[in-house]
Amino acid sequence: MERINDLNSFKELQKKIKADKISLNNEKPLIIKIAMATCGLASGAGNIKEYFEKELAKRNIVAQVISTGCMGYCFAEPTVEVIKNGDEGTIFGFVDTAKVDDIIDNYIVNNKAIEGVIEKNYINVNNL
Amino acid sequence: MEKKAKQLRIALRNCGVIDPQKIEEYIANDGYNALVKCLTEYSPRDVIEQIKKSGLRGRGGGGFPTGLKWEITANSKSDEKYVVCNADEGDPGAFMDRSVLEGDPHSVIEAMAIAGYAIGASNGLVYIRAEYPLAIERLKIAIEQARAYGFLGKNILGSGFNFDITLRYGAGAFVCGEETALIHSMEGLRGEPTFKPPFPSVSGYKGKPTNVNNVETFANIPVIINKGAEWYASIGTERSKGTKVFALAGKINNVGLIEVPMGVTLREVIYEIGGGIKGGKKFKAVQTGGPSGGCLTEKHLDTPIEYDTLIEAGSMMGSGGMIVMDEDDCMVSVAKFYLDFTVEESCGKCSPCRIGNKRLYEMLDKITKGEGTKEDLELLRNLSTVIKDTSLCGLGQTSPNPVLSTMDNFYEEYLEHVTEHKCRAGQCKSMVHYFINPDNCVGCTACARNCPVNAIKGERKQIHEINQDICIKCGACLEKCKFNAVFVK
Repeated sequence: MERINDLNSFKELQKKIKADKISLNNEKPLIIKIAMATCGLASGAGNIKEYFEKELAKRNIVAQVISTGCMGYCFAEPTVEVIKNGDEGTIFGFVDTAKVDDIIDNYIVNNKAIEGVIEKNYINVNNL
Repeated sequence: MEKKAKQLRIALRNCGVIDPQKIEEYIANDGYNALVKCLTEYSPRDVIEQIKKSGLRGRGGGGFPTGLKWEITANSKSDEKYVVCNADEGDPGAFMDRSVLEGDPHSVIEAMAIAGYAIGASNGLVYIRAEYPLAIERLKIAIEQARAYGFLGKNILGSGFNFDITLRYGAGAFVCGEETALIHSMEGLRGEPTFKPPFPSVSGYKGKPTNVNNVETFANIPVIINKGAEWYASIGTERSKGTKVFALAGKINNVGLIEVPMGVTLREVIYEIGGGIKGGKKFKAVQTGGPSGGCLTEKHLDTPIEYDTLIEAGSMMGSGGMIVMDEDDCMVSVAKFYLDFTVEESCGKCSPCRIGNKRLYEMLDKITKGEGTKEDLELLRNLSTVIKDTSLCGLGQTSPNPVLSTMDNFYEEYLEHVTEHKCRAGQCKSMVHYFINPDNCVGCTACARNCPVNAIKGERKQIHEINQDICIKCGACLEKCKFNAVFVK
């Protein structure tokens, strides 16, 4: 990490980070976000993350597993968002290890619609 | 689906979206763009002008215009000034600030630096409760990363502006959310409020001008700078701009964290976003504003959510806790719950709050035990008014609100408690009795076996009976009976 000392170096940094992100998205990566704020961790999100990483590795699936803050669906913790092929993302609630297997085998590998989807009911200012 | 979305996430824009422990993810979503913009394009006055024009008001509950607060602090002459982030979230059932700090700590750091630039402060302090260990950890990581990139520290971006942030831990006292008490706590003194004026913007931390803003207020700042004050002011209503984060809790299907534009109605929040009342029960009330707020009822459901309309309706915006109650909740008990909290949290400095709230609690306790009289109701109302008028700080000035608003909206329920000794919700244990309906009882003995005080008698396959003299009204029999034979009257 290099210290940013002027406007130009900030713009360079911004450009580089955004370009890295776009090139990643061009390769259509698989991103798995796990809500890991206090609420998520208390409902077992830590184990879910470990299990995801283990099971993905077992099946030789390359994915970025990211721990995020609260997604806002406290009633359905642990919650997980799966973004595949650069889509808008799908959120699953009440995720346990069985659900992780279901997500990997059916939703990710076989592209099948599965149960347990939580409707995203908001607009994000980042996307405006 | 997109068009119908009732929620707009501004303060929560990165929560659940980015990894809060990676500054690069924040930068990829326009992070630190606003700070850079301020330092390179705006004078401190321009920044204050933007915030003023945006119409942003304090999200901690008071609703004081943020831009004006910044301006007053900027106008106070001093060799040193401070920016303080109030992260002493203390309302029961509220977790908005914790979620922002855990999910997007950089937005608060960036906004504090912007505030420092605007008011001429080089020191920032975050007052956070030690009960939030994960938020503290993520904030620490974020501060380190911001320092490494040079968004905090000396000569930020070569502009000559210095700013750094340190953390101060609170022991979790509710009164320390009040800004003067918060400042005293940071100074190592007792967390007790002092009289205002002087306001912290004139004389605060160590006697220097201090700008205190809430976490959620700060989280809005970078977006206002990036998108412009006009854009921000176009969201919400005439007197309340932007969005508000609420923590939905209680008897509601979709318990969770939501962010809605100002002006949506309580009905939209509870029924559309919240998914309605749990178990298909009937809505009774919604409590907003925590222990300082009040209960709103059916007739307020179409009230738009704004600072001023909620006050007119007898409650307040507060920091964003929203607790939904159904027909099984007793409103006297609800008031008692909040008073219990206030009595516990009163710092004890002024007598109206220290003694008055204790007396209010005792009266409510008496009423829920079925020993209250009509005179008590009169006394409750009078004492509440006196406490409101004479307390030193916001805690005491608002603590009788749960009593007054439940009395205003549910007076008949209070009356029933004192005249008929009846609790329609069946919550006040001393007023209810458990019985067994002989028509439904099959003599399975489940109730008798589970009764902790052996109050139920009856042979196997014979009708059982509860001895009212022994019964402690724990409700175990009602829970265990599979034949709907136990009922409450």
